[in-house]
Amino acid sequence: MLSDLRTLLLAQSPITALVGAAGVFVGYADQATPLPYLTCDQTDSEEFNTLDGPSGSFRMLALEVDAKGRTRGEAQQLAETVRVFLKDYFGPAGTQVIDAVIVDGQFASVEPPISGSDQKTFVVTLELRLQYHPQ
Amino acid sequence: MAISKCKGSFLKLSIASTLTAIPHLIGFQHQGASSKSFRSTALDTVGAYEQKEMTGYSDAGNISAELFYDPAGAPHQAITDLIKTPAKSVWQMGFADVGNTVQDLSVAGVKFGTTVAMDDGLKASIELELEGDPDFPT
Repeated sequence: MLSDLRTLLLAQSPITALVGAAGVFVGYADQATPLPYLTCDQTDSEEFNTLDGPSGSFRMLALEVDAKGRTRGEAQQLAETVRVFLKDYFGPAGTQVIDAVIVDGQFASVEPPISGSDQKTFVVTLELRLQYHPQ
Repeated sequence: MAISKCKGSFLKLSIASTLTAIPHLIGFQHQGASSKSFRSTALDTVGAYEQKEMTGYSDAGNISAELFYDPAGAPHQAITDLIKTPAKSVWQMGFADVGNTVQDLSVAGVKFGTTVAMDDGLKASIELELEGDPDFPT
């Protein structure tokens, strides 16, 4: 689903206008990746299992989407663009179909400069839960 | 004596004379089955303890179940139909033990409720009031 979420986000022009055609990464981005960009990762899952069905036929994934920028304002603008798109989204996402997205929270942080650079990385993290029936 | 798993256990409802599995069950309980007694303690009963005798009757108890609810699904609609048009109904409870034990049941009353929660699937809870013999395996 993470790669499907990446596909969905990269299909949105307000997002690619900020991060470029490939600026969404699953897990982490390479050190030399220019800011701003997005990373997505899974922190938990809930499997809605039944006595009769196959395991995992209805799932809820807990995700963190990190919006990373050169300034706090840049990271916040990117995070808000993603939040506005995802908060009520349901429909196709890559090979999957999202049933519902729940935005649980948002917080900011700062990553120290990478060796040889003075540029800090400003991060705004969106905490989401995503419900879907795996295809 | 074996310890059995639960996945694969089922409840079936007779719909148009065909036992049909109720889909999306999360779990169910059969509770309250009991043999009935009355207090037979008299003024001349010897000793401190109460005396009891059997009435000769037993109660089959009830079954409560929780499921992910599909309002558009025929099997779930058949359950609420029993409330819209009250009628006794034929059910079957089956276990996932080695012998796939089943119990054939007669239900005289049905309760139904739904739960809607933001971070969960649409759920329903049902309660079936059993009558007659609950068909315990022997």
